[in-house]
Amino acid sequence: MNEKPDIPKKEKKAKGDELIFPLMALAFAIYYLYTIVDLSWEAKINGVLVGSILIFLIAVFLFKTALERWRGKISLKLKTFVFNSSAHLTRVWFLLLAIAYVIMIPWVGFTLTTFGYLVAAMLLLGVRSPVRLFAVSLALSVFGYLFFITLLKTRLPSGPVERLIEWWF
Amino acid sequence: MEFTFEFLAQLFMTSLGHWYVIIPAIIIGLVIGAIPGLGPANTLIILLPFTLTLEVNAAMAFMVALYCSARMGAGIPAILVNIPGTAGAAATPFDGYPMTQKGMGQQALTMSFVASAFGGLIASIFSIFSLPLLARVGYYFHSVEMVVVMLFGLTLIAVVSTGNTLKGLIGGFFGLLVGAIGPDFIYSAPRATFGFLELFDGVPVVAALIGIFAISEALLMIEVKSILSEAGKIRMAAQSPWAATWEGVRMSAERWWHIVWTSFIGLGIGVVPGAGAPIAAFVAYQQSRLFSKTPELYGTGHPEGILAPESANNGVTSGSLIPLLTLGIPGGSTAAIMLIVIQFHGIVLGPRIFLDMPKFPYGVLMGMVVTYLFMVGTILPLARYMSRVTLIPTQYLAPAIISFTLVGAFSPRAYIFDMGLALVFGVIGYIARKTGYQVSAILIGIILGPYVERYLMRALRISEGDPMVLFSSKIGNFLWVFLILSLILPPLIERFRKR
Repeated sequence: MNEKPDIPKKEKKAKGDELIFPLMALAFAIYYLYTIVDLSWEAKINGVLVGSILIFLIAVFLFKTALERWRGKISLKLKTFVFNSSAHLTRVWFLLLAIAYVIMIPWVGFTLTTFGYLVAAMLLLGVRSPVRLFAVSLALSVFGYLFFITLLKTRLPSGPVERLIEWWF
Repeated sequence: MEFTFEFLAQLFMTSLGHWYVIIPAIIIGLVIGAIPGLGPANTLIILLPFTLTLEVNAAMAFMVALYCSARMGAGIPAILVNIPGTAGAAATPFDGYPMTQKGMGQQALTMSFVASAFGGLIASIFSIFSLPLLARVGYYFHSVEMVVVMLFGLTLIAVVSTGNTLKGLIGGFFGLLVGAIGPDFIYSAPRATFGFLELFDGVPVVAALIGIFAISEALLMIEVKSILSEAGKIRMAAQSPWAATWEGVRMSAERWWHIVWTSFIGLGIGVVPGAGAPIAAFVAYQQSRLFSKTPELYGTGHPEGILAPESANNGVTSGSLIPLLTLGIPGGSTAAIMLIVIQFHGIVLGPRIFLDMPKFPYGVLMGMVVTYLFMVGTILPLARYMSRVTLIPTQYLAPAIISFTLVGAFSPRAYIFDMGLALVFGVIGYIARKTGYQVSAILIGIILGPYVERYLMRALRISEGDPMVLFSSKIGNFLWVFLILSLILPPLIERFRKR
């Protein structure tokens, strides 16, 4: 009997991820062009020129990718953006914490929100020592207050801490 | 006025006498340059009440020193944490950050300081001797030439920043379109604002810079425990503290000619109003790679990849002041604030300044020379301590980057919206980085977007809407040829080298 030896198949390079950015850019270009349809030529000429070049470049990129796929050199699987690992989950939570920081800051004020955010983010990233969590977050928040609010006079939202300090001094 | 050695010596001594404002300005500039969002323009506005109380020459020495050192400071986070302090340092991380990861952050910082100081010094000295001549350059660049200069810069960035020019161009033109969000220049009709009132003024550049570089870097950073590679940690532990600084000085000294010619690129581009440090840094980086014997090393932590952009973006500083000092036209926002202070003191800038007050324009440039000399002495020893930032575990570093840079996004307009916008750009930047699209090209596109539109509009209105106006100028056509060559030549040279 003639048995062929098992030749391991060369894995195709997954290039699905690389399509995310151009597709996002394409959607934005279409939206941009849609918003300038009714404007005068002076208001739309730049958008038309830049948008057309962008769409042309994306079309070339998509054509090249389709050609490579058709020739069997690549696959269109997602490699980086598959949310099945704990690292990705951590990143999503990390981003959600940052969003929460932005939402909370007008209500709670800069210093207290920064302190809370730093504690939560460091805890998420694996800092377990309560002393370190508290000390580093406190030191950074105080530094932030002194540098941005006291020294640079940045008009950051005030909360109970800022009001208390203002009242005290 | 006689341009004698005595005249120059007198200016030098007068500038040296302003040490009491120059040294604090250097320290302030370094700090604000290193924090994304706190550029020299914002700081000078905050410090305006202080500068207005100073005598005009001392005030100019203070502002010039702060401007120069902020440019240098922007390279520090670019090298240490892959986040440029300003767009002018956007080309610095290409080789600076890989060096840091290898445990050579101290050497990289030293090289950046040496290149910045000597690049700036050379450009300032050259400017003193050729001030009236350089002032004429601005006259030759009109709207048509400016459109081509900007597209040329963007193309170079696309070519330089990734191995894939098509991806670089997609990033760059995406940035240009994002930069065109907001009102048009004739009727102020809002475009692509997604219904947000906060975008009716256009996309805030600082929020874009912070999102694209800082937030995306923090999102990437949490994948590893430390910025340093394992080999980098061993190297950092093994090297003696001062030896690494000296090694950086030696590496720079061996490439002194590189610093010289790239500083002239910066000076030349700086003289053209509006072109600025980001284009100069990328042009210098591209030219440096093009003429290098080892172009394949660029992007892996190559010393010349740090020296070129840092020398060029400091060469821009003296160049950008030339239109201000000779014509009274500010080349950027920092120069505009300087103009306010100068006018407050009753000095009228323009061609007559060389007859009425010749000491003033030359004195400002001499102040720059003195600043750069001071900077060498004060900053080099700090490289040792600054490079320790890389030893901080990312679980502390990433949250600190997010919270402090978001404040930077908030600062210029005091809108909470800009913090959210920075997060959106952070996600876009993260996707771009992860999939091989260079974020520098996107950012430079966003910065240049409004300028391209403004100059394009002017050119088209002059020609009554005829797009052929873009090919109507000799300098413009010359630049078009360069633009096409910059797209065609690198792959051809690469192919030729491989043979």
